[in-house]
Amino acid sequence: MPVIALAAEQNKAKIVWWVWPILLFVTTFLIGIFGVMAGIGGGVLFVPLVSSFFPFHIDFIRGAGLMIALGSSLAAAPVLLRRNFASLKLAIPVALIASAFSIIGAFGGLWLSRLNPAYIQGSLGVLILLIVIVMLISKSASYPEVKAGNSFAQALQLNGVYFEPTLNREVEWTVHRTLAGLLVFCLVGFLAGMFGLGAGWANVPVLNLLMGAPLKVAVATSSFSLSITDTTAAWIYFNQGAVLPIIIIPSMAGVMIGANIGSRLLPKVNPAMIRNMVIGVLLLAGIRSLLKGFGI
Amino acid sequence: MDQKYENLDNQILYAGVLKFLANSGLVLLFLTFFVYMLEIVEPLVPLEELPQYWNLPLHEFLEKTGAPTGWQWVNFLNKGDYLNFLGLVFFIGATGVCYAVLFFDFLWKKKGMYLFLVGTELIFIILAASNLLKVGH
Repeated sequence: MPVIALAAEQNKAKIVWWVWPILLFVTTFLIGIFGVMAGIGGGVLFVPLVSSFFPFHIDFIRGAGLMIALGSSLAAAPVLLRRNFASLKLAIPVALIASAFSIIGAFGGLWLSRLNPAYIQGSLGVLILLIVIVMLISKSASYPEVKAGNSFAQALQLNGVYFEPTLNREVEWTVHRTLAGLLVFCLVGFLAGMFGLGAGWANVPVLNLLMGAPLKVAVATSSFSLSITDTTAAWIYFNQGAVLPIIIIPSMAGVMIGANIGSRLLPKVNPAMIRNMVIGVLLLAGIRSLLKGFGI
Repeated sequence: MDQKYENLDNQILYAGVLKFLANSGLVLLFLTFFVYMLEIVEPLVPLEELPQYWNLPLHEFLEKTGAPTGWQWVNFLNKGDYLNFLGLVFFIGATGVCYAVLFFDFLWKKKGMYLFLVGTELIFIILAASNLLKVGH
């Protein structure tokens, strides 16, 4: 195995520089398509796949991962906010907690990577395998039953209303288990900053299953709140110099164009099949990251 | 409609400012990347030499290329690779600008709780952007 890995590294070194941004664009274009169709966004696929199969150092890949998640979120947020699917009221406290911890995560990640990049690569592998488990076992509820009288939710006024076209009426919603939800967002923010992953895979189950927001509100608010959570961590990577335009810009273009096409293809495909396929790719990328962490 | 279930009235304002900044950032990002790829403006690290550096840990990359950190990139805007940072700053800075708009809107409307939450977030964003926070050696 080490001989094969060494040969692969030598082959990477022989490839002319401009091939890599093109390969990156093609890869992220596919990530954009499948990320949208699987409902997880591109960030969580980008870091493990690119760090496993491309020659860039993981410090730059994590910086790019954050920028990609930020770019995708900024592109989607205005529409989601205007249609009231994303809630500013819900995002403000949730993103405040997550963004504070994403700063700690960003510094933790850069520090760990400086000690030994294999620590980051290996723990990324473990995290991706955990995400696979979360994706396999988590269910969703369109309109979860929420117990009234959660004082924390009332104090923070965590409620809202949106027009649901499939029901042809307005849906009013509130949340519960607010404190537990906010505590989980500490961890979500930390992991987003440390690994440069978008946190949609965690945000949606926490907002929907734990806090009881309707699925549509959970998905949209998750997508929007990434633009706030990832901002603080992205500034840290940016200021530390962990941004290479040659990685970031082709990747952002690929993910954004791919996501656009993916959203158009969505009605024509079987989402369960795509989701299983993405879980399979994540599983492979997680194992590859873990092996790379062990120097294999 | 029950007053309790209303959305924040500045949500649409936030969406409008965000859309303007994100779109401007995107245009700037692709324009400057075009300039970079065609080497219209000479980059700090020549494109054909990048593969020698992009697999290095961050601290080694910075040492070997003399790449700037923090806000020093502003002094490198005459370099093709750092010209791209203009577009990137639009993207990373968009949320901060939107939060500043929200802050003054809540201040004007005297909404104390939101003022506190948005003000605290703004402090985190400014701290992160200022490069005052450093990672230990």
